[in-house]
Amino acid sequence: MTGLQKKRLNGGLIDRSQPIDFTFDGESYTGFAGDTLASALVANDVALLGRSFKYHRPRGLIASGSEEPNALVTLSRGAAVTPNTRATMVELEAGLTAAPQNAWPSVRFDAMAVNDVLAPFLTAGFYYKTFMWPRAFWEKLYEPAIRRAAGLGRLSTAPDPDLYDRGFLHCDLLVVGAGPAGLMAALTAGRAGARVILADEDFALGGRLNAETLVIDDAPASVWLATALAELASLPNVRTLSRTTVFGVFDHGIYGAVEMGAPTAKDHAPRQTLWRIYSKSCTVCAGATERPIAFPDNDRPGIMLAGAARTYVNRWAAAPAQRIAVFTNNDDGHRTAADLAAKGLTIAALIDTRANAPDCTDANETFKGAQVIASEGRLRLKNIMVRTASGGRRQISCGALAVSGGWNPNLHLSAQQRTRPVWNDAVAAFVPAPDAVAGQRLAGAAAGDFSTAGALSGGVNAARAALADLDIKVKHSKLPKADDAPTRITPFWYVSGTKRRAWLDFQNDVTVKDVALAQAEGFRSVEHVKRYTTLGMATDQGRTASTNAIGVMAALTGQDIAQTGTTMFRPPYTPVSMGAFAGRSRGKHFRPTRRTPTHTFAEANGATFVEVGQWLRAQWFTQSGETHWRQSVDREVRAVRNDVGLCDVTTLGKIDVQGVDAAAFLNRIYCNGMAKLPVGRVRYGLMLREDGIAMDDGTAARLGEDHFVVTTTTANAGAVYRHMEFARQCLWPDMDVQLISTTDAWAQIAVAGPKARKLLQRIVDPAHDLSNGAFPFMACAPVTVCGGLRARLFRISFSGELAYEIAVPARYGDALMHEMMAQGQDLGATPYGTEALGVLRIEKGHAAGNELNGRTTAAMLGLGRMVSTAKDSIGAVLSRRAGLAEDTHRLTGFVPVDGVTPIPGGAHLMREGARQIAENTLGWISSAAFSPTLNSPIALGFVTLADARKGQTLRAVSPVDGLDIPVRVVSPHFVDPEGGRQRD
Amino acid sequence: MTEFRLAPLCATGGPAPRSIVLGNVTITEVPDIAIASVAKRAGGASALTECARVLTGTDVPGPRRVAGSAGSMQFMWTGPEQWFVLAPLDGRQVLADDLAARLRGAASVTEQTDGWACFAVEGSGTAALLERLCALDIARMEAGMADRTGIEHMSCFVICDAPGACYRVLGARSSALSLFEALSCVARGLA
Repeated sequence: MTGLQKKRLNGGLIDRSQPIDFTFDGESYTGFAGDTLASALVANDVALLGRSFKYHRPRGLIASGSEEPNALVTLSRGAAVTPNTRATMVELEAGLTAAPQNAWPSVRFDAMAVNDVLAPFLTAGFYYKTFMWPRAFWEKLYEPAIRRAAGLGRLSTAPDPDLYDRGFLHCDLLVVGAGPAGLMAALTAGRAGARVILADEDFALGGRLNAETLVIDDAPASVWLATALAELASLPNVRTLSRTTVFGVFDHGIYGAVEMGAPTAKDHAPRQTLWRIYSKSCTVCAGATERPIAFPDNDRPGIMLAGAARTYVNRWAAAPAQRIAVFTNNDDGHRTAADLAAKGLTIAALIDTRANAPDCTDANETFKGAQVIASEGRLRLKNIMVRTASGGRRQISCGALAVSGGWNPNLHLSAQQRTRPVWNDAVAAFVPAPDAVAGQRLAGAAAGDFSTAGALSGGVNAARAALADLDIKVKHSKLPKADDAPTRITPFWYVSGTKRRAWLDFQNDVTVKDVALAQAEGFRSVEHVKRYTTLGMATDQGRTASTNAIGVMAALTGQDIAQTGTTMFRPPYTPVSMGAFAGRSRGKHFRPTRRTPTHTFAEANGATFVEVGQWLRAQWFTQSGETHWRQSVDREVRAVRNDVGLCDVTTLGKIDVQGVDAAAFLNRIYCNGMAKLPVGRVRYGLMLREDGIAMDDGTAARLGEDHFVVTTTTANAGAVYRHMEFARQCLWPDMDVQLISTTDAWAQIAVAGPKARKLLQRIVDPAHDLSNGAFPFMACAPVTVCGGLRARLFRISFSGELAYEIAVPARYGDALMHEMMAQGQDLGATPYGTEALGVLRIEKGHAAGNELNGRTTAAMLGLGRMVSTAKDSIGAVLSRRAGLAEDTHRLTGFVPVDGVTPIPGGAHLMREGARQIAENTLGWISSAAFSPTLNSPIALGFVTLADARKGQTLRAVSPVDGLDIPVRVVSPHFVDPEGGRQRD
Repeated sequence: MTEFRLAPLCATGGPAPRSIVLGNVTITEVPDIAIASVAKRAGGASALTECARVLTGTDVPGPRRVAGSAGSMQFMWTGPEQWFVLAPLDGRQVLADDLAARLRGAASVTEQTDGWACFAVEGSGTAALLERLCALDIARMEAGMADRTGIEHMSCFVICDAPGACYRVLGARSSALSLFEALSCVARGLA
């Protein structure tokens, strides 16, 4: 069939010099640049595009735009597979491969079409009534079976190879829709100098101007359109976004939009861009969507909306059939007949439900006050049956039927903030409620103003009103002259008096009967009917279905339509790919990675990295011959206990605290006293939350009378800084204190072990005396290292050994590590990671994140006496409250009775012989490790009455792992309980 | 610059600054920038103003502004009564100490030089790049404006040196590589 476009007419907005080959359902076809997949298929005389959701009925195109419910296809481009794509919105591109959905083995012969025969059993609520028992079968049997039989496209489950960007735009006026109203709004605001964004979902701007044979200023509308677009392009303050759907309105004038990439975009360009548009004002000119009329078997391929038929013929020169009938309740159907006849197509008949309908000279026959009551043709329409005004029947042969039931304004963006649209009898449609969204106005068909003249003036007026709000002056300019025909329509929702099914929601296979059944079963609210029948719930969200269903409901109940009301509108207006929301945040770019200053050193020295928040930290350093991580960790721990170890501790939060009131401020932040800390000294500090629970621990180093550096745990660096800023700004704004994070600015390396001083004496410049007398435990000072580089030295110990932390500007961290390793070679200098760090602190009985878990108090941590009663501090009062103060859980140590069995972290502690039930728990294991120093597993944990239980045997119970291990309660200080080593 | 035994690394991890040209955008790491934070203390306003006048020839800047010219001493507003002072690093190893000596208690001064990574983003495609990375109204940024924003979950400053042509992006040093990748991934898509 290649090259043969049987149904291509003359004219149209297509470029015949650019043929494009594509594939649909395994067959090759050719279209032209300017085609959509849908228009190219129409031109190639392909009417059958898929099978319906539930009954697997043959389906073809109904619409020509984003409202299309039937023509959902799966697109393939290389590894990219995109299901549920509307053929009407796919810009034809070379090599495009599309496949129909929901059909097996083929769209022409679909085995699941048996569902259509079973239709009497598959009515609304069928699932709820049928698959109730046995309960377990729903998830395992029924739902998977139904999902296979009914459904839309399938995901490939492979990673999406396409790229997506996200971005942010700002404007004075956002204009949604580039039809006559939107163009006039954009021109008006653009000429006034306002920043304008004009967005349209189509790749060609112009809206209905591209689809109609309208006259503006006594010339074809295309002339005016070209002039308008050229003027907009010349205005630097106007940004035009084609292929861009504004899908949602959010708070404060923020709109969400998705821009599709052009088919000509380069391979490495993003396929879609999600824009967040910050607008001061918005004019919605989103046009209107035509609605069908429900009549028996109205879903055959070839039966389509009258406006769509007109669009295919006028814009794309593609004829749905040579012989076409029109079924309408309004004057717009007559326009279709006229346009199609003008293109040389035969209008077999025009059937108008109105008895007072105008004559139609373009049709072979006009039936007034008549209805279409049946259709025939298995895979494509062949005949329709007409019931005439007098009750007679006439069969009419036609390959397509153009149906118009009137037009619904596309008012979704005005209704997404819970204000429901209101019914307007004059145009027989729901129109936007006034002032539904702050800063938003509607114009043109979206506002219920269906004439071209009305659209042009409405666009101007909406823009003028928006600019007046923004104090932007508007120059007067002449309004283009256009047709101002009134809308003449007599609402007609469905053909009654027949037993055959008449479709309302084509995408979800919901018929008039289903709505009637829901009504009969007591579902009266429009929201309930929607849920029960699934009408309006598929990817098209009932764009062509909802108003008709409301009309049917109103007719069935005798209510008027205004009382029946609409369902709730919610974003998105049309489906948005999950990939667009994710943007670049995928895979390794999901979140940023923070690297320590010695990352390069660690990589080169066999480090295994662990994620700690966003940080990548060395967990251990594997040396040659080591085959298990425990070998590396044990070696690193021994190096610290016997020689000297080096560990990058940059990740610990550092907060610079300065100001006249710095000491007084920290005295209120920490529960222990900080005011009298001498300059040149460091103090361990504990801060509590307002509720008295321990928040974080760390050190405060006093570098000057009015200058401290506070450290936090790695995990709490952000939280502690926020807490301190809150206290500074909100609790005590009168204190003269300034805070700033310096975590990243300084590379900080722990130098721990009996030979630490010896090593540092080779690093720190000789002017600085590091002897125990001159620089004792808990001393700090600015020093210089390696021949003059400014540094800070802190004598603090997390391991319990003689230890220091040395800080240099971050860019020198890696070099300092290398230098210390070189200088410490004869001392056994060894880099150690977070795992050894953990073992060392457990051996020493120091609390860390596992112990500071948001449920423990200072007393429980064995730090109760740190909570000063001589001053007030955050959390001090509530730490003494009833219920908290009596908690006897205390941090203590545990060893396995047999000396060899590892103690599981998180295990519950119970008495010997006690049943494994929650009531019997005496506490829990918080941290566990193998201690190479003791050559035994050890653990820290919290247990009630810990001091009294010292020496007792308890059980560490882990029902999850089936473990029950006898443990002995011991001191939490496994190594050097007197603390002599760190002071030597 | 280094008279001591240690060789510095760039924030992106290598000895040399990273640079990449992608279409109409050039992204270049700028390692030679000294930064100090200056936060006004009670009663320090006039001394601070005097200091800014001496160093930059103008007052301390207000919100979203930078005072002084790129390439010499600049004050950048970072928050209420807080500024960053930016200077070429060459010979300014002790920018914070210099400022503290000048201000003599009128403000708290903290060294921030290695807290940040700086990238120069230059070329005609920079506005299109930055509007895909941050919520700032890039098109309305004039030379001498700076603002704090988020770029792919990273807290950053964007400084406009020449509208549509030259910007500096400052982000935390530890995530410099992630920031460089965030900038270059989007720039690659536009190239």
